[in-house]
Amino acid sequence: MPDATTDHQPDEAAITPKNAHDTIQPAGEWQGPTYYGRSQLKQAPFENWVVGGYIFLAAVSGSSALLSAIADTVKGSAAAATVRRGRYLSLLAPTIGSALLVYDLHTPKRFYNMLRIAKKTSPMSIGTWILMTFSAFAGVSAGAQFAADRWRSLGWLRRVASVTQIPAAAAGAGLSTYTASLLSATSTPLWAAAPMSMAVRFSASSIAVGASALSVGETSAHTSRVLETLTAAALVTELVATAASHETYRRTGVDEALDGGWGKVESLGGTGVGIVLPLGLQIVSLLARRRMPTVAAVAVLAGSLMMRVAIMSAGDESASRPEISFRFAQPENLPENRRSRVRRQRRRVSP
Amino acid sequence: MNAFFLLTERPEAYNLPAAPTRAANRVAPSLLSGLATVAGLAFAAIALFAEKK
Repeated sequence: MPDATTDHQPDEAAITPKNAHDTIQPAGEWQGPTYYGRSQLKQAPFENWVVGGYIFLAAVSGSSALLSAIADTVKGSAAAATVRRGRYLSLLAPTIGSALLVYDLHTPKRFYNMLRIAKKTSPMSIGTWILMTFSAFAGVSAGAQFAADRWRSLGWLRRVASVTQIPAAAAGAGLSTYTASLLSATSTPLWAAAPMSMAVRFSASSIAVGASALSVGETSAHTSRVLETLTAAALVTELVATAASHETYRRTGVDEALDGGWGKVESLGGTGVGIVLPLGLQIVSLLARRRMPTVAAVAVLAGSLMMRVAIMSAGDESASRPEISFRFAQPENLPENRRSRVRRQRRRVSP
Repeated sequence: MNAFFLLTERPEAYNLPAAPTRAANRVAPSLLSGLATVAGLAFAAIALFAEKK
């Protein structure tokens, strides 16, 4: 156990273990004694732009595979161009995304070693297998599509693509979702504080970027309208989840992590550029009876990337500041205890 | 193994969290929330694509 009499001089905000209990606030209202102001947690060992880039590409790929499979199943050959784009877009995560992951792990061997185990309580392990499953089916689907487009004699491969797109779509739903769970299953206060609303936020954002990416270059008016409406629905869902997340951050005292530069990127870039701007452009387009401009789709994509990188970087900030991690670790502030407290209150109220 | 630590002060005095939790407990609610969101929006996509022009 650490000794208070080490040569580290406590600063004004810090206290010694001897008087720690005198100044401890009631549960849920932690205001400040820390261990000499030292970090309680280590920051996640990610390079935020690299892993944030992977999470973004996973969202684009997973949701593109899902939406193109839906378009193919429901509309058939009428949506052939959209389906083709979706199948090619789904290759982003298996190719560039996997390369980014390996780059962050520093050696391919670490990625290989993750394939030697399957652990249901580890989102990292779950995610690895989701990515591998998705890569296999999406790769076959896109490859079959490419071969059928290029060589007429191989037109039968379109059937192969249609079959393999179904498991690719299922894995794509997981791929665009698990990354939020991966972040939540850490001790980093900002990521752990609101696991459910952050998952909703990431998932809705994934569908928005998938629909936006597919809408670029779309020639069919009906498909364009469908993708624009879907983008708007996903953005509204994301906006509600963002508000819910921020309310939880405020209540648990981790919102200070968003006071700095990354908080501005999250609010101005993630919410402003990624949600409010495209929604505004869509309303203007609707009023003018015109199609949504491409800049709106680009804004959704850019905002989604900024939101993910900002959340990751602000999470690091929350881990490095002991007053935030101590406050969050008070029993009343933890997500598990919040839920059990609500259940206790309900039992008390019910006769 | 077979060792324990007796804290004579509040956990914060030792730079420990007051209420440590299992991070893995957050995986299932998070995954289910995300998948439910994707499923809801996927059903919306099916309904929209199936709409007559």
